[in-house]
Amino acid sequence: MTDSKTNPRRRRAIALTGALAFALLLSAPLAWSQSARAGDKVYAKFDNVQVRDTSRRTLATVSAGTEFVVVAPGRPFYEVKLTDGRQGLVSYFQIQEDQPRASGLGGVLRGDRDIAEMRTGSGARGLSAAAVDLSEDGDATTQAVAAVRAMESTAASISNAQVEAFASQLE
Amino acid sequence: MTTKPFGRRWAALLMAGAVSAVTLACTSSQVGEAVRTGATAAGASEKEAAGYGAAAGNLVSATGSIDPATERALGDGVAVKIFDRLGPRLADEKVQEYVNLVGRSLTGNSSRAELPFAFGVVENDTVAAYAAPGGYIFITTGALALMENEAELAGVLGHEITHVNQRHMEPLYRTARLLDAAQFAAQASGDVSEEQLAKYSDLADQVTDAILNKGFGPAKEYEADQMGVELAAVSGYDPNGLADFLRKMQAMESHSGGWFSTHPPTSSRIGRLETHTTQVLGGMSGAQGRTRFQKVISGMKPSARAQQPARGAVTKPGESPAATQPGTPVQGGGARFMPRSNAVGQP
Repeated sequence: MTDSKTNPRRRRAIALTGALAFALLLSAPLAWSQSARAGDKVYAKFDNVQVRDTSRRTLATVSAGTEFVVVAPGRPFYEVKLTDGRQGLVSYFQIQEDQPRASGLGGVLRGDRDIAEMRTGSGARGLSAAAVDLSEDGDATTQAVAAVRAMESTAASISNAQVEAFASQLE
Repeated sequence: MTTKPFGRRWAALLMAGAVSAVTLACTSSQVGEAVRTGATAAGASEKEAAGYGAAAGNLVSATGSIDPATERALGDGVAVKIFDRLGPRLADEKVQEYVNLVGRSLTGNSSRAELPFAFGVVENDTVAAYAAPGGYIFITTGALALMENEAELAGVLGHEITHVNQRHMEPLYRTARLLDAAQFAAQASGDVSEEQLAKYSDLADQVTDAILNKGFGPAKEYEADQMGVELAAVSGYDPNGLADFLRKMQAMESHSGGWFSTHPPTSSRIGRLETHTTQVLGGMSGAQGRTRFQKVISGMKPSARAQQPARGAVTKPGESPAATQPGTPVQGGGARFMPRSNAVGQP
């Protein structure tokens, strides 16, 4: 029988198994089922998460990773306490039980997905070259490409301040 | 093979478990990098580790989440195809801007607030709304014409936003198994080769077909209803908006029958929403936004090249089936209609 230390196939199998098991261990906490209870800590999922009072007025706007203590979990709002003692409501869509920006490989697996989305959100708009080429190759019409460009252009022309003003005038 | 059977079984089990868990929340590049690092630590050579990383990344691409840039690049192509099949973008910029403002009011409170959502109104009298990968949301003039207030619009948009945020479309990519084309598209900045473009177009066609003709299945539609209503509620809207809108759809459905054959029955959706609003949202109230909705939508102007049907007009089932064929051009001089059976998953 070949020694496992010198058998390349066995060494590869062990290496691959070890690597995947390692990834499994690191990713296990990802399956958050919104099981937070009163007294637990939760965190803002990304930047510009709003904490509101019961009249939906903004109490605070917090950044990614800001810690809250759960006063009462619920849908669609969690009642939370900020570190300065103020209490308010946060959209349950925008909190998570693990810190979004852990360091090291655990951070890669747990947090970078959100960070990648932030980068996408703050940056690139505009059609990919391939989508534009669809019309040139006869796979789509130029009108359809122009329509998506116009759709993106309208969306990009609206600032967050405009959205906030619009939302505040809802009645 | 010199590896013992017992060891192989363990290896297979661990691999399956690890890949399943990782694909729940990680992108292909993240998994590839993690596996490469782990393999190096476990003693594999750099070349071997790179190979394992690439293989794991490809596996995740075929079975799980994709990164936002790829998702968006795929969405670009799907959005183009959707306009091609449904009709022109409404030229009335006031309405387009208004729908974007309502949509962005919702996405700002959602689980993917940083995604660059874009909302578009399509001239088509079918009562329908659609979500495409990467945050493209479409609503027809027919749907807007049936609504009476902003809470109904928020409910419908909330449903579609949930399809994006909950990644309900990802199984479509897995089925397509052509994601490398979208990944290529995400990276391409200049000319795209004919072969890559053909693959990209094929992938966009397949995903568009699924969105327009198959929907996402009852469980995901119910989830989109419930989370969409929660999103509307958390944004200050009356959570009954979507149910109110569905009741109007139900009244129309009784005249045509079988509109949404691949969708949960509208009566069932309404019943579940009423239960959810009572039991989970505890009878929350919110604004209806009737005044500003009426002000904008009552003045909705159709494009010169597309004749807008009367408000709430209904198209007969099966009308203009050419509208569902991929690659057919946008027609001028008349609105294009989808067969009723295609108004699936929407809203």
